[in-house]
Amino acid sequence: MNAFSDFSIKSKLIIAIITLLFMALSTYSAFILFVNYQRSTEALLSESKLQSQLIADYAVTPLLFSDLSGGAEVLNKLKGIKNINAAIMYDESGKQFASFTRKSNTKTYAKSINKFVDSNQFIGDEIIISTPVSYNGLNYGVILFYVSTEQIPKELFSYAVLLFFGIIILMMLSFIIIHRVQNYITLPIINLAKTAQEISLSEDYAIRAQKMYTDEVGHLYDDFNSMLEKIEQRGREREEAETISRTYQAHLERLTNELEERVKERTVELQESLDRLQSAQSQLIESEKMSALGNLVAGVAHEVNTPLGISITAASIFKNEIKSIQDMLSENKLSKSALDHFIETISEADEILIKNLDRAALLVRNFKKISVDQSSEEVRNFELNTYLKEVISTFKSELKHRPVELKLELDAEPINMHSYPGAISQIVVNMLQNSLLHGFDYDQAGEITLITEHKENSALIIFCDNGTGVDDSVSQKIFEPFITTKRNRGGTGLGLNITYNLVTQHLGGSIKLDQDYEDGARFIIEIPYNIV
Amino acid sequence: MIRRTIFRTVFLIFVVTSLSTQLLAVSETQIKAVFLEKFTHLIQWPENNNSEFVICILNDDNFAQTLKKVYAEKDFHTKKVNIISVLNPKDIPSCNLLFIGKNTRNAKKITSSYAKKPILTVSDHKGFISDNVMITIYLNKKRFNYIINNKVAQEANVKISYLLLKSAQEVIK
Repeated sequence: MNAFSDFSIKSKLIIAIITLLFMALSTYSAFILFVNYQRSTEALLSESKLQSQLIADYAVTPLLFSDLSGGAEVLNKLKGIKNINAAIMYDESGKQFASFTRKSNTKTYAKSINKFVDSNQFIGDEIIISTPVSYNGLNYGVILFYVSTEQIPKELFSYAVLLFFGIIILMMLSFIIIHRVQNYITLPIINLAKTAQEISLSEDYAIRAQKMYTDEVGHLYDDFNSMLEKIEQRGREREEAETISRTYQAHLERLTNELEERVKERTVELQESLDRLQSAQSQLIESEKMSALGNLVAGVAHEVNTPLGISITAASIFKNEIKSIQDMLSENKLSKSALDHFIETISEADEILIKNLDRAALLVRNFKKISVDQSSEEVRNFELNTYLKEVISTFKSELKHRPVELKLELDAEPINMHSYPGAISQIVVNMLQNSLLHGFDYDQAGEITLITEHKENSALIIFCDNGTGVDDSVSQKIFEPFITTKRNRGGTGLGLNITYNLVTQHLGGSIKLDQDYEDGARFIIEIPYNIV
Repeated sequence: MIRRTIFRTVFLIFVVTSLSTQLLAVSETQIKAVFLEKFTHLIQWPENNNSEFVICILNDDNFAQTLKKVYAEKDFHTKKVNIISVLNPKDIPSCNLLFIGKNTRNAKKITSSYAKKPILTVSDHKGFISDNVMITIYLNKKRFNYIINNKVAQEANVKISYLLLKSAQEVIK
């Protein structure tokens, strides 16, 4: 079948028609042979039955008059009919009366029979026809005809041979006719295929197929030429477009090169600006740190100053009381009541002194610890709530002169951390300073609440105040550097940016401004318990 | 059984007669009787309401007796067969078949008297065929032959079958 597919249209057409013709003729011939066989058989049977009836008619008289020679004479009439192998005449008692057997026939036939029916049956290559011999309703015997059917296949074979040669001649004639006629069908197709191939090889779409006839293939030629025209038109348009495209591309390349040059120049400029900016930022951060540390030192100094002043007062009381008691002792005016007063006063002063010195010592220790934490970047274990209290203690001086109350709502459960405490103290200080600076006017009363909570793997530190809140224009970029609303009143614009960097980069946490909080500002900081 | 026996006997007689009728002169009558009986199979008479089939024998009592033996157990179709020896020609009109013995002298006169009447006339004298006897049986070369005068038979409305006609030695049309 694949080999057939690769044949030319011409060959396919010829093979298909010849095959179809052969099949049709063969089928028709087979049908004719079959019908002929049927008719020959029927004709032979009919003819033999007629002969049998005629002979039966002739046999009435011999049988009636028991004329043996007459019977034989009647049967001998069959000599000339070659397809009758034998004919046997039986009398009314069923006994053989006369017979005719062809010399070539060596078969033996029944000497008597007991059936006198009008019948015929095919046995082997013979038809046996049984014809009763009767007249006027009286039966005188029966004649059996043994008719050979050998002639039928022979005749059919001759007929088949004739048909075969007829088919061969017809097919040869058909082949010649088809071979000539097929040119009208295939030649236009072949020409069209050649034209298509020529166009394909040369890519010359100006070539046109020359129409031969105005049949369906002719219409195909028209459509093919129309298609070629469109392809040619599109080719021209494409070439024009390509020319324009090439021009634009060259222009674009030139522009791109110029742009690249400009970008390079600007990049260098920007890099320089960035370097300068980063340097400035580092300086600003450093100054911010120093500022924070300065504030811390000032606060601590202020804090320490109070207990130390009280301690000095207590010490002067000591001094005065001791001098007073020494004077009384030297003047021998020391009385018991005076001594009791002295002891009571000294005890009170001592108590005040110790208390304030302890407080000063505590402040110094806290300051030392926090300042060390802020200046160092070591990781250590600490409890967050306790640590926050320590940090707050160093910040109280900031709040002392402001009508702002700092409230702590720390989680009841200890929050154990393994992180950078210095970064956390700086964040707390920054956030509190931020609230004081931006949330409230200097004389404005308010409240800052510091909340801590446990989360699954992190601690929450929430700073909220009931101050002026954050303006919408600022809230979107509040953590960006140099964003401040108080630039001329002490703000550097780096406080929240430093806080953001410390939380996200240093502590691996997150910080966000609660946009839905309407009573002031609310910052939510989430810091992992354990720094990675 | 008897019929078969008679048939066999007749058959044997016929065969033997065929060989030599000279040697069996007595049996010739019997053969003629059988022939006569066989002739009736191939002849048609006009329809009539008679209850019996009458065969008249003229001038041959011996043949009449032999024929009676042949018809002893046979009918003519559905009718009984009555065989009578005719002495008076006046009785002839009631016959269906008239056998005229070869000793009859005025055969032509008899046949002329009953011409065109449906009476089959048969004789064993060959020459009577010219006296308008319908069938004459005779022996020729050791074999029985018969001549048919179909013209007379047709005029008498007696139909003789073509089978009988084609087996006849001679047919007068």
